[in-house]
Amino acid sequence: MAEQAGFVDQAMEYMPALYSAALRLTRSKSDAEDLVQETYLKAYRAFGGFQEGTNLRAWLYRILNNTFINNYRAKQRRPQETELDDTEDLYLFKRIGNPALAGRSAEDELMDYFGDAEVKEAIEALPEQFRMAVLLADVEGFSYKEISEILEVPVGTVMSRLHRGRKALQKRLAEYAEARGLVANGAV
Amino acid sequence: MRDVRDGAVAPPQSEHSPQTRMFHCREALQGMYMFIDGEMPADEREVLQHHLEQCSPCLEAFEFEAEVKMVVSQRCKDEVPDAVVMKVTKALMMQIDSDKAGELASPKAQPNES
Repeated sequence: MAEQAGFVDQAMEYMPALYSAALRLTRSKSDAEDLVQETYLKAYRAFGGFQEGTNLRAWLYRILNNTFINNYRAKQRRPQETELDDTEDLYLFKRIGNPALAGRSAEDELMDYFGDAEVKEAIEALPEQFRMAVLLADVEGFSYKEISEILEVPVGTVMSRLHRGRKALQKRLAEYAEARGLVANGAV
Repeated sequence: MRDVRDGAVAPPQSEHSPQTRMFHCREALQGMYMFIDGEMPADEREVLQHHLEQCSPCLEAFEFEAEVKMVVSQRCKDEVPDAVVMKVTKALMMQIDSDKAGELASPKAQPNES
């Protein structure tokens, strides 16, 4: 059992990460602000039930995710269990993995190829359940087990969402690369 | 990522037919994300690492995927505006104050008014 008084001391440091995730989920600054605030208020009220010494960061993300599903998804036309088109493995690698064919020099880091706005946009374009899995794994660095606890789904589901979500993300990134002429003809 | 090869001990070069090689590559690809995410059990990891040392196409693909993962993690950060931090802190403080006021008004815990 955690003392509520300790909540502020322990939880505030996670706000930048939670705000970032909230932005990706809601795709709106004002909604992200509200979502973070609501998450903190809920977490504060529920803090008595938090097991001290367990993973506070993961616990906060679980509240964020549930709050998002309950409050914000309702705003959208319908909560979807969207399927993703089947995308081939190594989608991006096959297109820009070979620097020579993709018209970039071998020393160029992939990091220089995509800007913040493009990567964020590509993540935000993912259907919700895939978006959250990719965010938690790639941006927040949670383990599969932690993600399964945050999203309240089995580890196998986490893995399949990650797999498909990442492929869809790569497809999107490849479109950006293509639009900038980075994917050479016949690179596939 | 360079760490794909970390911890590897030079294995004996094994001769394998194109078929076995294909099989290894397909299996390697199936385990790629678990490997990159550090979720692979040690024994499987060792087998896969062994394959990567012998198969440069797979190694390149793995390194590329690990790099994509890093790009995603680095390119997805946002600064939380001070105004938001203040707003959330203020809302929390108000909640805490009103809880305290509630406690003072009724020393015995009374979660529900009846």
